[in-house]
Amino acid sequence: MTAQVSETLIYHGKDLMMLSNPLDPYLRATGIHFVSPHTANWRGYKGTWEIKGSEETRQGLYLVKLKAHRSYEDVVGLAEIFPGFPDGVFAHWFSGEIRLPQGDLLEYVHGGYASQYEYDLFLEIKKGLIISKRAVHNKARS
Amino acid sequence: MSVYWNDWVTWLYAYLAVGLMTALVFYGFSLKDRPTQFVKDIRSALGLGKTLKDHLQDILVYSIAMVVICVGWPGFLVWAALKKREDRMRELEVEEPDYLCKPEYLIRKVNLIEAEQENWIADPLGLTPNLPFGHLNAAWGKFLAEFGLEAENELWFFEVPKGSSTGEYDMFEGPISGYAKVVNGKIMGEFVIEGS
Repeated sequence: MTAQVSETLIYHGKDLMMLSNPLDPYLRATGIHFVSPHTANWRGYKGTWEIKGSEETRQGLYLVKLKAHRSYEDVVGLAEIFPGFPDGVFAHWFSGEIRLPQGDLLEYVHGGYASQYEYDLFLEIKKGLIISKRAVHNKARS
Repeated sequence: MSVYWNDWVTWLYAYLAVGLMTALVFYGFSLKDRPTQFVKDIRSALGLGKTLKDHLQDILVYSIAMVVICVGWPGFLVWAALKKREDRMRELEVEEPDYLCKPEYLIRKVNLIEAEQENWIADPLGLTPNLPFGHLNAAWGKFLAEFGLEAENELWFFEVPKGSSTGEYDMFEGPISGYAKVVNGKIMGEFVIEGS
């Protein structure tokens, strides 16, 4: 399997690579399917997400941009999938960890999201809300 | 002509007659599975048509099968019944949806109103539709439409713990929760509200 294009997360004003697919549970629940435009994007879409809200109170995960393939030529965006929500869609259907790799690429793996980077920042999300954060310092596999 | 039922030869003829009828019925069924003339023509055009040797082989196989069924038809009928049952079970297995919710993950029985009251979305920016289940409201409506009004249909809240393997997916990174339609203890539908 080819390495897959990542999602993007805007966090503290920076665009970070996000190796998690928080839109998938929504697509499964609603029965929406996209088609793969190429082997590096089997899921058929690429989303841009943003952490919004006040750090003192509550912060949530929002989908702010989407490029999804209904067919190879028919590409739709956020307005088609979530009409009426141009400012972002709160991912209340997602619970789990999102992985944000940072630093140097230690090991490239030609499959999925398996490549290894210097650091991984994990955000634990519960029903779209951030509940904890942790960072992991990775070492190259010998 | 009188029939002597106390003569074992009469019973043998009767046994073989039933066997012959059974063999003819099964031969009739086997004809249904034969390739159509169109397929035969295509195979012939591709040089894959039947040779004289193949025809002779077919005649030999059918003749042996007829004799075997005539003689051992009770055993053959039992075998045919078991095979039919096995095929049906396999078909049912394929048709049965693979739900994420399994009976061990059912937490509590709820009614529709409780389910909706529990699922108003806490959105920090207040952007989510002010409806039960937020962006999943339409999917919830679809689930309810398929739920049915039968008295035995029950709605249960379920939760699959983080790290479980269930359904067609392996090892979820987060918990999965939702509502299941349960009929006589069997899961007949599910609506997932939270997953990874």
